[in-house]
Amino acid sequence: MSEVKKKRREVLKNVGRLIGYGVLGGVFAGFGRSLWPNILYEPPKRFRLGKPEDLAEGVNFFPEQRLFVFKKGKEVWAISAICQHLGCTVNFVQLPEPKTLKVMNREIKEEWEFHCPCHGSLYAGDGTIYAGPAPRGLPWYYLEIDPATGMLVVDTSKEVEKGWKFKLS
Amino acid sequence: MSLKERLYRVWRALIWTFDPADRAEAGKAITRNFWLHWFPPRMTKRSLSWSYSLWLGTISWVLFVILTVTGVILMFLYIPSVERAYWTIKDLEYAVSWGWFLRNMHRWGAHMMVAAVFLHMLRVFYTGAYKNGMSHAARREINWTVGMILLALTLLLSYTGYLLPWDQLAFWAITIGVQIAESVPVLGKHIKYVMAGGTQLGQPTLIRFYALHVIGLPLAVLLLFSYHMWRVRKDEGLAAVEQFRIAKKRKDLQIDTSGEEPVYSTPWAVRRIVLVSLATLVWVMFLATFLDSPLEEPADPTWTPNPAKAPWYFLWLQELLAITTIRTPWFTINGGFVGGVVIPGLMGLAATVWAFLDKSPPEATGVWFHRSRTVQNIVFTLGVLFVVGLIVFAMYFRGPNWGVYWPWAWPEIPEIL
Amino acid sequence: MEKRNPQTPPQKKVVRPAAKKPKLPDVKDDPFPLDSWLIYAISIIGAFIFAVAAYKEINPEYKRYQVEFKKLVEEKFGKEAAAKVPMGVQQIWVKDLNRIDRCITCHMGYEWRGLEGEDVPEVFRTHPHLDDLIAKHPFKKYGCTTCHWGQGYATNIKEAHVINEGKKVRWLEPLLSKEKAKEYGFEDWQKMPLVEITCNTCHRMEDSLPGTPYINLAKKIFKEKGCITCHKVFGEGGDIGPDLTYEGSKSHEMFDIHAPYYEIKDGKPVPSGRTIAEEMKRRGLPLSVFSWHLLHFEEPRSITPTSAMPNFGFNERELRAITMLMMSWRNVKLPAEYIPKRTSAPAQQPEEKADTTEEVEGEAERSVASELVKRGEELFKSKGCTACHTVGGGKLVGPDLKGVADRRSPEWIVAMIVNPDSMLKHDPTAQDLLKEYGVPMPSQNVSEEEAKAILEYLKSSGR
Repeated sequence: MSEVKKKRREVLKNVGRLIGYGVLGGVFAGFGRSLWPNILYEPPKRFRLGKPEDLAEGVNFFPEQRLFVFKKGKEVWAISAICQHLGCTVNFVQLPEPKTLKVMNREIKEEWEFHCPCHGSLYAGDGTIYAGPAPRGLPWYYLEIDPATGMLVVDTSKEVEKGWKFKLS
Repeated sequence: MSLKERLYRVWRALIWTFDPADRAEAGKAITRNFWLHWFPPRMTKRSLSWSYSLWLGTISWVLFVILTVTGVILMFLYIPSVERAYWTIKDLEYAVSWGWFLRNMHRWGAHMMVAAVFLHMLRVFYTGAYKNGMSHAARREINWTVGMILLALTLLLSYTGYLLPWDQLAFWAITIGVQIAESVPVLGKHIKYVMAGGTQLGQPTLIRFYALHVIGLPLAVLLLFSYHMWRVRKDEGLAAVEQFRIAKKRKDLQIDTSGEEPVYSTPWAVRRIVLVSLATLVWVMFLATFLDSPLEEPADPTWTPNPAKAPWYFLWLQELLAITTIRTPWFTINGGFVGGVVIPGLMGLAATVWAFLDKSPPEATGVWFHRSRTVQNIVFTLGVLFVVGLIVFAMYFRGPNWGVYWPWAWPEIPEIL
Repeated sequence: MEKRNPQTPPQKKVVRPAAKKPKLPDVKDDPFPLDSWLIYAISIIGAFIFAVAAYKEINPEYKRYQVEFKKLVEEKFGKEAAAKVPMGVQQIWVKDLNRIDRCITCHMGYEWRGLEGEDVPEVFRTHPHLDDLIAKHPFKKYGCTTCHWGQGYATNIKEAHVINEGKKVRWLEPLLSKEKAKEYGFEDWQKMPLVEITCNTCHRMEDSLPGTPYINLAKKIFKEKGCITCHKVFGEGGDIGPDLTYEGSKSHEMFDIHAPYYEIKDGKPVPSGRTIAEEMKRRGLPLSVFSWHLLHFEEPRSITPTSAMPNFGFNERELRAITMLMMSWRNVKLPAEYIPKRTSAPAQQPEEKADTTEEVEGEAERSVASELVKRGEELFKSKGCTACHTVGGGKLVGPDLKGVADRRSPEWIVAMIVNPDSMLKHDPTAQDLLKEYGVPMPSQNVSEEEAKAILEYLKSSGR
């Protein structure tokens, strides 16, 4: 066998080998892909809170979605109840009287606080973290009125800036 | 030493055994590679030929590996609960990426494995491979017995897996299977009670079958398979080599000694194993791509599909027990016991002890259809045809109410609407 | 094998004469030269098969619809809206009803307002009842298949709609489509009448329900014909015929469509030479439980020649209505919040309203005697007598009661109405009648005073 022929054979064998590995790799990639769910059996991220007038004045807790929804007069806002440290549900703590808290040179007037039972993270009334291990404050979520049904809808996949409140008309 | 050199040395340590440079390396490679250590350094060409073994044992093993890999992934996606099992299978079919492919591969792999293990048994019988030839060390009857147990375990694995989709097909096939077990005298009731975890199929049955299917039985197969392979070494190789041993001692016999030349296990036997594995994988992929697995209505204890059939490998039992009820004026014996237990039990027992009773001469070892074994080959074949014939008959000619119909003339069952 | 000391180096092993040993080949000499090529050939075949599998995986049937829908939204509402159209399998999961409905994977416009028009392809059209039905039965709470049936899990047309062409789809609830209604010969098939079945599965306790003309008609028939004279529903009624409480859940396996079909000749059932299945095929009906009920209501004795059930002479519309009522009585489990309010007051049904006003007007003019006759007539209908008896219409299950007051004494008639069981035990005339007709008269809980009213009615109409 000539050297050229031998070399050609080697190249062909390598190509063949690559195809073989490719098939195996493809099959495994497919199997791996199957583990990424395409559909979820979970409460949806965007869900109805009900009619705005049905919300109680002050705090409303939605346990299934772990969400606090506050209503004060014409204003409504939603704060997550999921501690940003390791995901426990924070407790809503009503303060005996309103007070002013100073966090990082910022003054926060608050009537309630959120306390995490797991590792002692403490959040101010607007969700700002002021003590404990949590790396960030509680997120606020986007609210809107569904034009079709007139229901108040929250979208927990859309975070909004702290202090963003939905104005009811 | 630079990092590059170090990495290269590790790489070489991993692969050199598959590409030995000379005879000495080829020998050393066997003891230095975990995956090769149970092979001898050299095998005869005939042991590795297509025509002698048909490679059915290897194929069975590869199928087991395919089933393990797909099975583990399916375990991530399946929920063994009567409420959600069916639902997760539907998800595999319609909503999980590649779910249909996984399920098809697992199902076809399982059917192929039952077939491959059964054919492997036939091959061993027809080549007289459970015989010891002139070897003093070999005790191949043990491996024949182990093989029989492995066949039974394969059937049980398939059977336990059959229930898991929790559809009508599964539910009623398993109901029949459990009923067969119940017809064993005295013990039957207890066997059924333990198998089903109660008196009828339900959540306890599902979780029991699931536990058996995903860990109990595969573990047993793995252990027995390892022993099976180890015994092949201790029995001095495949029975085919007995022909060469006998040829040396018995010059008076006209024995074909072609294929005696040695072949290095690595790389040549290894390459053939790779080839067989790849071919098996591609075959299963082919079936999985083009033939979809059935899934019937969700399991419903309130109505039985007509006819309700056992899984195909148990159909011969269903056929037997439907026709073997013995009625005399004095007593009645349930066909479930005669056809479901006594006949198959005796057949299994006969097949197992056959290896110990086979009186054919040593030169009938490791060769296809040796003249001295013609009679027993015919008897054995009749037994096999009996089973296969009953399966085919029950599968294609049994219709509603277990009546006999031509496959194309099945009476139609009405739809709801 | 000889025993070997593990300490002994293997080199000291007994050396056999070299001549007897087969000569060892070189490692590099390939004993199976074909193997490499086979591996590569099989790899390539494997690559092709994998490519086909990948193609099947990447191009599901619904993808075409989603792309088309996106285009439609872009045309109608602009790019921004089109970007919001979700891709991939979409589903409504109703945990409480155990429904997983992926219909919306293709029917993506189901709740988009503005896609109602005829110009929008039907698959993408907005649900036509967003403001009435859907307002009361929101998608999130009911899904799709609760009302429309079909296989919610499936993501291809054939299996989702349960179309049994070629390979049979193993799903018991086919889509209650227009096409299906057309197959069964509904005149108004375009209104998707079969959906009324599922309405009534939950609303079975209501006497009438807006938007379900067939079911309302059937309920009226069921009451008027006195079906519960012979059939039990929720423990109430006779036991001459089968219990109908969950008639719709009866397994399709239990309907033997290969039994002979009978024709009525001279008032007697005679084998027609066809099976029920063949009769269904002859009429172009699908082989189904629904068709079975149609044939059975048309003439019960054509299916069961010994049946005591009378032929009520239903017209085509009534046949379909009463069949749908039967199909709707299914054994479903509903969480408490889904159970509809049990109403017996008739809802705003124009036809029934008309009936009552007429009654009120008429009553004022009638005398006391004729009022008793009127009451007797009402009782005759409401107590289910009409199921077996006519007055001047010929015999059904029981004798024609025209002129019965001339044949029997008033006491006998009243006794027979009030207490048929003891009459059948002790009275020879009643026993002779049982012999003649074969079906014992069931007790209908009629008081003596009511029986007298019925007697007056029979007297008045008998002559």
